Amino acid sequence: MATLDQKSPNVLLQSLCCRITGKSEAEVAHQFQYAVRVIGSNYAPSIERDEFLVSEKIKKELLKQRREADAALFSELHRKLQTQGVLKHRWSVLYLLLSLSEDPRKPSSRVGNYGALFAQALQRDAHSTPFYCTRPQSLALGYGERSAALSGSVGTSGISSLGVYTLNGPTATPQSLLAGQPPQPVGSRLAWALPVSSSPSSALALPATRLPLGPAAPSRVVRPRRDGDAPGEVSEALLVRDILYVFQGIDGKFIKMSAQDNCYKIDSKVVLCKSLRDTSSRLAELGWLHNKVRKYTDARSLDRAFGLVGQSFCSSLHQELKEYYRLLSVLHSQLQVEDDQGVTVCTESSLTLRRLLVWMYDPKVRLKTLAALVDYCQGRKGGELASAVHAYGRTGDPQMRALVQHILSLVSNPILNFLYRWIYDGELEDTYHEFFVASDPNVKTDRLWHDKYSLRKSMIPSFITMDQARKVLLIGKSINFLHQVCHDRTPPGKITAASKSADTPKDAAELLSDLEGAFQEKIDAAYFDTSKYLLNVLNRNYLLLEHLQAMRRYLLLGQGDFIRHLMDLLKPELARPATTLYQHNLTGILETAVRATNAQYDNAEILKRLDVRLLEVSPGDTGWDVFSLDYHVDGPIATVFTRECMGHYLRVFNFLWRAKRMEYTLTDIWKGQMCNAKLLKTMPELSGVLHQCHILASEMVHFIHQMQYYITFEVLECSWDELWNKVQQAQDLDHIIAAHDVFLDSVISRCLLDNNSRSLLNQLRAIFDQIIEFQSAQDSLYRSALEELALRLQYEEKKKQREEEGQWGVTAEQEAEEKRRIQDFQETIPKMRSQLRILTHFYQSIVQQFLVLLMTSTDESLRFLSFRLDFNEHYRAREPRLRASLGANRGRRMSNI
Amino acid sequence: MASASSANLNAVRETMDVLLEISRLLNTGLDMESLSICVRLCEQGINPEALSAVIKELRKASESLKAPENCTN
Repeated sequence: MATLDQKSPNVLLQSLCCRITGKSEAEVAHQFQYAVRVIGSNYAPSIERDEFLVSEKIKKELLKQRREADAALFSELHRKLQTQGVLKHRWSVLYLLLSLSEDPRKPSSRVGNYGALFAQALQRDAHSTPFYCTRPQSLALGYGERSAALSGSVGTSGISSLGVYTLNGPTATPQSLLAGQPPQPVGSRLAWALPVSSSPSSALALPATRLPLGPAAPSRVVRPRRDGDAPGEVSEALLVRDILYVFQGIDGKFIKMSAQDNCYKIDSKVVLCKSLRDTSSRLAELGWLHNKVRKYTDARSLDRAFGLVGQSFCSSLHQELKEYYRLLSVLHSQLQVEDDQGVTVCTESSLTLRRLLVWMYDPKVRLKTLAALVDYCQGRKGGELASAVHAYGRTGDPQMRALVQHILSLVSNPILNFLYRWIYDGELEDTYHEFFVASDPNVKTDRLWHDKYSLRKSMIPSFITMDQARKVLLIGKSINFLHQVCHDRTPPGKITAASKSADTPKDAAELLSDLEGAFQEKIDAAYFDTSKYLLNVLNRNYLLLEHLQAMRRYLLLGQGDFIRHLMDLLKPELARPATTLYQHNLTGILETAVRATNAQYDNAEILKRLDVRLLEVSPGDTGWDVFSLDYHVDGPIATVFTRECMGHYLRVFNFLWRAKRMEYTLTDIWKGQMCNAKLLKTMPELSGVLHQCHILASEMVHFIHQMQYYITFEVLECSWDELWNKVQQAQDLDHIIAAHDVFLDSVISRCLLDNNSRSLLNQLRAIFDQIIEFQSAQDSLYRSALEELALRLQYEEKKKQREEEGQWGVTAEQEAEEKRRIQDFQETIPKMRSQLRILTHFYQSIVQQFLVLLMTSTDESLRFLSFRLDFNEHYRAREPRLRASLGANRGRRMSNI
Repeated sequence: MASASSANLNAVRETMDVLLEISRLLNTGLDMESLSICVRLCEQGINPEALSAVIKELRKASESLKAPENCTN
């Protein structure tokens, strides 16, 4: 019986049919026909031809049935089989046996009532196929030669048609849907989804660990299917396949994108129970989210104007999508495995919608975050985009935060690259205007510091504070300033000791996590080093501080001896009308003054810049009105002493020069009084006038002294001290510039040169004018008095001479003439007196007005000036307004006394 | 020649014994004859998957054929 004679397979099949059904050949014609068809269409197995695997499976099966002894027995038998070597296709036989095996503990499934079903299906099959062959010999069996390409489609179709019959009955289905899930696969799936900032390497490794899921848990459980499904209903397996397509944004067979509702919808014609419909709708959301993200990246990744930051944002989105695709491919391969194993070996972990719902939960959250991010970032670029991403990082969900952090680190990488290039090399390569430092190419080098670079406020990423941004701007600006204006060619590496290693995205991520610490430190270090170096260069090579002092000494009249001497020398020149002045003459005088005074010991670099300047001449001006000193500034120094600054200096100089001239004039007046007092003693009739002159002059001297005191000590010295302190403590050039501006502003406003104190300045000018007028009045008084004196002396002389000659001293005629002349002179005296009185009156009223204005001034130092000017309440006694405004204060003091 | 063929026959018989034992262990429900037919089919390279499917179908068919007989009996 057991001979291996070469009978045709069809004959064998026929005898098998007879044997199993126990009927004659004629009776089993149908069954035989069917068997031939199945065998013929399944000539290539879908499983691996591996004897070892099959034997292992058998052992496992036995162990599962708790038949350890039998398992041992089997391996013994198997070994025996291997040693005999009679069979060529051992695995095939073993596999057949395994497929036919049944668990003895379970009630035999053969008892089930499949009969009707089988008969039905068989009949259908019989009708659907052409009458194949009744004669067994005609079946072609060149299995090896038949191409395997056919096998896939034909094989699976055969299996799926068989799948209907392999149902194990209702008991099997709930098991697979419920607790029957092996815990390990789900765990591993979650583990895959959990490490959000998953490095690519670990993600790559995961599919490998996932794959053996299917075959690892073999069982005879069949594909789950709902009980009592209506015949028209779509099976869950088909839905799962559909959903997997929808996940990638591809329309499935039943679930399609609905254009009008902008969502995925299940075809309304498809009959489906509600829970499946709900579940698949929930899953389909993933497809929608995926489409959204995908659309954004597709639209943007080709847009070059979107910039580097945008590109890295797109690439980070791509990365996330790639992870997502990887998951989908795993799901697909699982589906494939299930399909291939088809009928016989189904796994308990087969794909169901519910399982998908659980597995896709985390990817869904991630995709949701991405979609929200994409929505929020629409229309943003550069630093703005980074801010937008950063705003999404402020969430309590650690997974989401990690995801956003990861994206942020990628997005901010180009920004940080910009930043490092900028603060270490001073280079700005920002083609798409993404960085928060903007450069204006139209600005020339002389305004480089002030105007060339600016902050783009909208592009400052929200994780960089305004303070940091300003420092960053300053650092790069300093470097550029050094290079372009100072022509300092020190390589940037020498300025800052900081390393430039922080260029990789990983470092960027680290920096982002430690914005307060490392990043701040880096910026601070670069800031300090660069600023310090810049200030050093300015001080050492360009004598910034010396120039500052020179400004004070020359333009703010700090160098007293020089100014005094210059005024002495210039006095005759400046008294002439302005139109007759020549610059070269004045420059010569200036040089003379420099050589004659301590100014000659000053740095040649500074003296070289000192110059004379004539202001615009208006008719009637004297030299005094148009003369001005000038100081030439250029190069890096001009950044501190800008054109506006120099304009302010000139205004202040004019004011001080005028005040100085008043002092000078009054000194002259006093000198004249002292010199002439003795001479004019002989003319008692003049004593009244002279007394008047003395009083007015001392009043003026007092006023001007107090003014000068105020200007020198309250204004210049105080402001200068402040400036000097600030300059010494300055950390960067901006501090110096700011301090200098503050200094100039305070000097201008306290010297009454700003708009608020215009009325005060006008009063002061009037006072100055009165002083000049007084000088000329007194000069003419002295001239006439001295003339008169000379005439009188001459007359006396003549008288004496004649007496010596022995003649009459004077003739009656001469005497009469002398008397008349004296009388004439004496008659001019009241005129002089009244002129002086008018002058005094005028002067006093102006001073009173000035005092009133001072009293109402808001500046404290000006009010103190008013006290000083009116120390003995001389003016207060005359001016009711002064009394009123000083009012309570002084009244109380008086009463206290 | 005869001894060689008898030795071969012995080996085949032993193999069949082993297979029958395994079949019994796995509770396949095949008797010696069916098994030998199956083995011969397998040796000719027939897909065991399909063969097992066919055998299952045949069993079911025979049962369904028997069942109505039983009922009528």
